[in-house]
Amino acid sequence: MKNILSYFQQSSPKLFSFAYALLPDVLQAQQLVIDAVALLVTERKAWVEETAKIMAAQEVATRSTLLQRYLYRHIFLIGRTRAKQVAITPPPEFASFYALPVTSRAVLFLHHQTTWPIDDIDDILSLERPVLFAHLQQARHALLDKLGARIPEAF
Amino acid sequence: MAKFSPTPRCLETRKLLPFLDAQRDPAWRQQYASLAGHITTCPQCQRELKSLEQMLATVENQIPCKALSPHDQENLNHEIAEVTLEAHLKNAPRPSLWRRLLQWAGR
Repeated sequence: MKNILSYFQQSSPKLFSFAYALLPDVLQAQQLVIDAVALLVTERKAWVEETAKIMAAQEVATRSTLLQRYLYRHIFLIGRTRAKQVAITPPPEFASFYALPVTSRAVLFLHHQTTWPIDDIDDILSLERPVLFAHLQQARHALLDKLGARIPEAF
Repeated sequence: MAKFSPTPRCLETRKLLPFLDAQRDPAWRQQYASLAGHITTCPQCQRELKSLEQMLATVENQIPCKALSPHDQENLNHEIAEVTLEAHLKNAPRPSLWRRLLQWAGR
């Protein structure tokens, strides 16, 4: 109990940054993190069984990675729904970023601002690899387009 | 100046260049290692790589990485503790005084 609590508290700054990339409001993003943690702790029994199965299949994945993946995945799922329900004015300096669809924002954030490997990003966002890369490329294009930046030929 | 005509290797490199930063993935790292030799010897691909790196830097500057103030961070951690404790008490194997209190309070 103490261990899991200190783990949540240590991870909360990173989780908050991700939540803020989905919902650009401090209170809404904080609530997103709290909701994901609440979901995990209330479903803990089911989750422990599920992770045991996954860990048996993938020796590499540690429990901490699975825990993080669970939290990121649920922040994304809840955030995606909530983003449709609430109208938030994004900070002007990131207006181009927040003009992108939620999934594109999540892909960009996870790929550029975290150290998650591609395999884990696939899993967090429940996307197939080609779809993930398509999202990544489209999101970068759209972002550069909105900024009026030159897009390299190879891109 | 002679017009540059891309070789099949150049075309392959260009196809993969946009995902250059996916190198941290072991499967992709191998694929890039095989292209690295070509990139170092081909001036055109080197230019493409440089402009691509600049583009990635521009993209990264546009992605927010918001941090909470110490006060807000403390509040968030407090809320997390409350949610975790509440779930722990609700799932406790034997009814405890805390659990009965929570039930009494309707939570």
